[in-house]
Amino acid sequence: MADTTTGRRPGHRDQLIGLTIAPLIWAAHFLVCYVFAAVWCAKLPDAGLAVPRLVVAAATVVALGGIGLVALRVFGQWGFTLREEPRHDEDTVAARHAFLSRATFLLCGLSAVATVYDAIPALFLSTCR
Amino acid sequence: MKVDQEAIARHNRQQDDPALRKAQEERLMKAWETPTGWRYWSAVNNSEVGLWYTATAFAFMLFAGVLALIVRAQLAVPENDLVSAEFFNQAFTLHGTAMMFLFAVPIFEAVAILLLPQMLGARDLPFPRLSAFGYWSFLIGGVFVLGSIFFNAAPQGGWFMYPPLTTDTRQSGIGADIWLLGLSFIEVAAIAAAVELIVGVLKCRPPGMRINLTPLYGWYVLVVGVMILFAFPPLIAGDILFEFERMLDWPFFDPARGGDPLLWQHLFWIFGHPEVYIIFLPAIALVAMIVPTFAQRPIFGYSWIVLAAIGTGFISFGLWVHHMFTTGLPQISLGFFSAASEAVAIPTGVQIFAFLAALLAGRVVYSVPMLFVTGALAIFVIGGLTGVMVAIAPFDWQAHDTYFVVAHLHYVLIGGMLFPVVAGLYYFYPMVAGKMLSPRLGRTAFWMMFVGFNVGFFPMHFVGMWGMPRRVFTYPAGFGWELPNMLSTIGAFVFATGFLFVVWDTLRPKGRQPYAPRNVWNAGTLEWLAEVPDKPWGVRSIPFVQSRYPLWDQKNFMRDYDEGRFFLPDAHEVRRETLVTSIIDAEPIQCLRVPGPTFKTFWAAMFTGGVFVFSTFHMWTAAVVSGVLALCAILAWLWTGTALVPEKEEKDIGLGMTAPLYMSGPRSVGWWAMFITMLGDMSAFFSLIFGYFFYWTVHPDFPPAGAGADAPGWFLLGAGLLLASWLATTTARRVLSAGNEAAFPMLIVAAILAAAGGTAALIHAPAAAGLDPTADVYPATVWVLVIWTAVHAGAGIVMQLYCLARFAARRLTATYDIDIWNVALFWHFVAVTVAVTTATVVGFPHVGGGG
Amino acid sequence: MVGTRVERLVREKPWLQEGTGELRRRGRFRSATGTAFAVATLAVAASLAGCQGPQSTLHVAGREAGEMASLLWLLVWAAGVIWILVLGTAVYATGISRGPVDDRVANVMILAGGVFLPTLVLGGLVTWTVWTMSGLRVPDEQGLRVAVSGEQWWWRVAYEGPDGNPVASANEIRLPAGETVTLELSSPDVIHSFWIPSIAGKMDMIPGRVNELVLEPTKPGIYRGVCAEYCGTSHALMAFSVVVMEPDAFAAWLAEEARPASASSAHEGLALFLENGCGACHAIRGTEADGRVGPDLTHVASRKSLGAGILPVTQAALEEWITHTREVKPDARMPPYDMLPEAEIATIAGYLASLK
Repeated sequence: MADTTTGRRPGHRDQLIGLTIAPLIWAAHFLVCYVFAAVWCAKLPDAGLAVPRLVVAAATVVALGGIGLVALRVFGQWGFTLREEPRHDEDTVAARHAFLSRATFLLCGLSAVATVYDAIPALFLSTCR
Repeated sequence: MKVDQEAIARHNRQQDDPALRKAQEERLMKAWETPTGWRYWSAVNNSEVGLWYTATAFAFMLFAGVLALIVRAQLAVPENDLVSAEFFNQAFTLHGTAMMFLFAVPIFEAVAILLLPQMLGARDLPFPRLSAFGYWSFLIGGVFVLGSIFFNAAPQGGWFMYPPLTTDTRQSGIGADIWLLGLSFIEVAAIAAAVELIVGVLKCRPPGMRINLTPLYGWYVLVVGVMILFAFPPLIAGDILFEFERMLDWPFFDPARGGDPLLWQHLFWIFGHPEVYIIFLPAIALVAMIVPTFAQRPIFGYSWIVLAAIGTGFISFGLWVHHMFTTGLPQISLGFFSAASEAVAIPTGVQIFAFLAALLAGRVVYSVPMLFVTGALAIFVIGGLTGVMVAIAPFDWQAHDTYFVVAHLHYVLIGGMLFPVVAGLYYFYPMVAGKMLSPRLGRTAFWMMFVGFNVGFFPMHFVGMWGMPRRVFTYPAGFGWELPNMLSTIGAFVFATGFLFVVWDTLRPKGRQPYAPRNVWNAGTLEWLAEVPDKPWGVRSIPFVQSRYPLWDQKNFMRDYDEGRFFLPDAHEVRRETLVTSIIDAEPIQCLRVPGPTFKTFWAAMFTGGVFVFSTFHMWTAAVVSGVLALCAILAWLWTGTALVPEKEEKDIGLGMTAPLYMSGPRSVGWWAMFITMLGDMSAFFSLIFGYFFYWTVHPDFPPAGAGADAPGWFLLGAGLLLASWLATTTARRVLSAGNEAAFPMLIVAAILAAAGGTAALIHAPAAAGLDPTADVYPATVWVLVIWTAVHAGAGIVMQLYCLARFAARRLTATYDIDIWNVALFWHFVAVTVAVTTATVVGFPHVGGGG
Repeated sequence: MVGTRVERLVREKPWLQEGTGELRRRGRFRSATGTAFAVATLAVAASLAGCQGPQSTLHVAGREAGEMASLLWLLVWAAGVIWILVLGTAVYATGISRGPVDDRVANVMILAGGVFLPTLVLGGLVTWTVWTMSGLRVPDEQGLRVAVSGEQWWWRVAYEGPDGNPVASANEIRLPAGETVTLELSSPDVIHSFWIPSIAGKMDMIPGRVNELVLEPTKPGIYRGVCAEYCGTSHALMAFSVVVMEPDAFAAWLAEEARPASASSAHEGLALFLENGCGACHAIRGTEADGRVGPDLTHVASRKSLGAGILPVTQAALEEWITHTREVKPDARMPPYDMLPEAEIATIAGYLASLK
């Protein structure tokens, strides 16, 4: 889905797929946690959840790190301000880049929150019951 | 986009001539003429197909509504015997099925097909005949499924069709087959529409409409289209397993032979939960178009809403187990899904607050559409809040399968979908039909629907908490359920009467009523360029867009548009044409010729439908004949209507620009359509693979000892030959592009031979290993993976033969090579399928085998 | 700019103005909100009379049901406040507001109302959910175990008897108050769901699996359980009685239940029962009747209901059930015995009614 324009302007490498990186990290984290715990409990129902809890913790650290990296890359590319729609409704490459960056950043925020939520069960549950 | 001011001035001078404009308009009218008489039904244009689609979806909705009234009448008083238990069960099953599959999802496709091209200033969607095919499939499937109730043959296993109740042929008659096959057919139509709409949003925006200027409706359609691609195929995979169990006794859900009823629940809800958002998001997209118009200001928080749409799309795939909180899964699994179910409320809340912010930051002009929007908000927020409650797993242990959930889901769907859709009906009706709907009737309808709905459904929260389960045809007196049930019935009838006002307002003759003014609500987006009465050409000229609300912000926009001062103001060759643009910045890259009226898609749908209908009644010969005819119709459609070799390389599209008429590979819309379709295909395939590993988790001896060691040779031979065919096909594509027209047919012939041999070897492999699919779930699972792979290889062979024929007919050449590009792309996915199947069937038993 | 746009619009398009005026004059929106509240109030009023039903989740007689009932009220209050805030804003924005608010205010509203508040509240709910769940349904290894099988459309029950042997019963569950009981739930035919609303949430009974449900009944009394998963034609007619007893009384009852049938084996009804083949499907311990297809009838007359919670246990009801089985319960497996002479029916029913 590469942009057809080329050049060295900011945003020349913008791709729609960039919006989906953070939610995809959330999805991967969710699947790793769920599938690992489900298979663990199906195969070793009496073993307790010590190992799955470690896996969830590790996956959460990795996922949040990944989301943080994406967020850092786009942060500030739209002119950080409380006032909404700073520039990105204009007919320019810069506005388009500002929009994609801002939307990517917001998706990073949502993905991070959802990732943290998904880690909470591992804090409290210790058996396969 | 590089703009040549001089060329624009030249273009403008040319368009100053009224006689020229008149001639252009005549040519456009001729190219886009709607067929008349009985040939009207051969139309494929989005404005026709979208209208049929919408009307049909509403008709099915009314039918399902009548079923709901029967249900409510039966439950008005305890111990009622108005209808039999059996009829009641058919009625509620069909009510849920029809509302979900025949109204809620199709109305999205219908409205999007109708409106999206207008919003994007496009003349049509890129594949009009695909839309028509989808519509006819929908109509046939819908009539087939709904008609069954008149023959006492309707499904009665609930809309979720849980086995083993529905796999037991003594307890579930032909109705279950009608459900499975009729709806599979409709699901295929939904995927077709999704492909069409995704490509539409990505590639058919008007020049200048960069991704940040795309109307929010476009964003929602994009998100929902992609969701359909990943949500519907798991259900299709489930349907395949289900029908194999019913027809051939393969024990996928039969615990006595290693199957597991829970696999169906997983596959059904992996579809079923995203589906709720597939229904909700497009309706909220209508609100996103209505709110700015009546607030008379741009939407507030555009990027917040885009965030919400994409975020909801993703998270909605992590919720499915919350429909299975009471199936006895470990608490840790419930915890993950509880968490995601709460998380999804965040983007939904953002969405609602963004609308509120837009209303606050604007000056609201009230009218019937806004009335319905406000009512939708009042209802939906209650549904959302009860959704947050039932996402709490221990609370759901109480609420699940009670009337509390019935109330919750109706608050969500009627507030989140029906009210916004009716708002959209009042809002867009003048654009589509040229006449206003009556504000007086609209207000009456609204108040009856709003009050009726709340009287009907609010008490259900209580009766659910007082212990009344769902799906009961009767209930005893004395538990305090009488009053709320009576209220529910009264409310339902008031609500239905209110909706009849909407129906009457829509259908009442408006011959003497004057036409509505153009852009009646003073909206800012492109669809309101539509002339009154509307012209069949879609748009007079394809606008050059520089704002999210060009009608508000761009000077003389409507005049320039009317006078053809934008792109493609003419149809020199009297052909149907629209522009294809780049994904991010919408720069024109191709002038796409789109096909006109035909009955071929109608026949293709009829015969494809025939395969499903005849199979339901086990009329195998008729089904095979119908299948061959369907294949012929589809091939004829493709041969005559796609990848047409143009008479010249490129043409003038106005404003001093030219664009090529033919484009292949990743820059063409056809390649994207194939790619997107195959993503859906992959998600069905991986659902089957999920089935394999699901059985592995539930059984210690799956795969059984020694599995994979029998006849691995045949498997590997089959896989090797198919991969060779893939290599030959992709090489053929490359040599043809390089201009080597001699090597091409030889490579294709080699590919066909390899594929045929490979398919035969692959099918022989499980037979050679002595796997009996009716004996146990393991052989059945292996067989179903092999059959899936073989069917894909078979389709690949048909495509290779098609390319050979096209090459022989000089319709496929080194320059004009769309066909082989798309076929090579298909074969990439076949290669993945072959590799994964082989690794699973032959490889996995060595790693994860039990016994 | 915004103002002029609206004024121009209203000038050009009078139907908009008309709509606005009428709405504002009559305050219709507020009247709708009023209607909704009236309905809610009515329902709440009705609830005071109704929630004490034996099948209500609010008629609490178990720990889990109690926790969920308190949670419900908390959630309902919170939801009510949120609903009023959101709708209040909407009504203000669309009907009352005299001029547009500043963009900055609107943006803060999205951040506060759409982002921060929900994130905190929902995060709290997730935490509460898993924390609560971890404390619920903790089995007691020493506690009573009861096997319950959901079958179309009745319940097969087997207690762990005093001597370790299973004690067969049907369509009624008795539980000792204050103890932790583990139920082993299964099904031989289709999916059912076991639910005693007053004691705890439900658990599905899935063919091929055994699901465990832990109950902690707290308050002696008679309650009603029901099948919550749609399971075919007569799903609506698949209930059972629940009797929570003091532990001593329960032990005494279980010892009694473990005994063979009390009625005289010379009863004429028993002969007719056996002669007509009833014993092929039903067991009456202590007699030749040892069928395993249908419910065990050894102490049928001591139960609180007949036909899986749908009829009282009386002579008349027994006769009705035997002769009009499939009218009482559509598609029931048991064929109706309406071909027998009335006198024989009465004798059989009389015998069954004596099986205390």
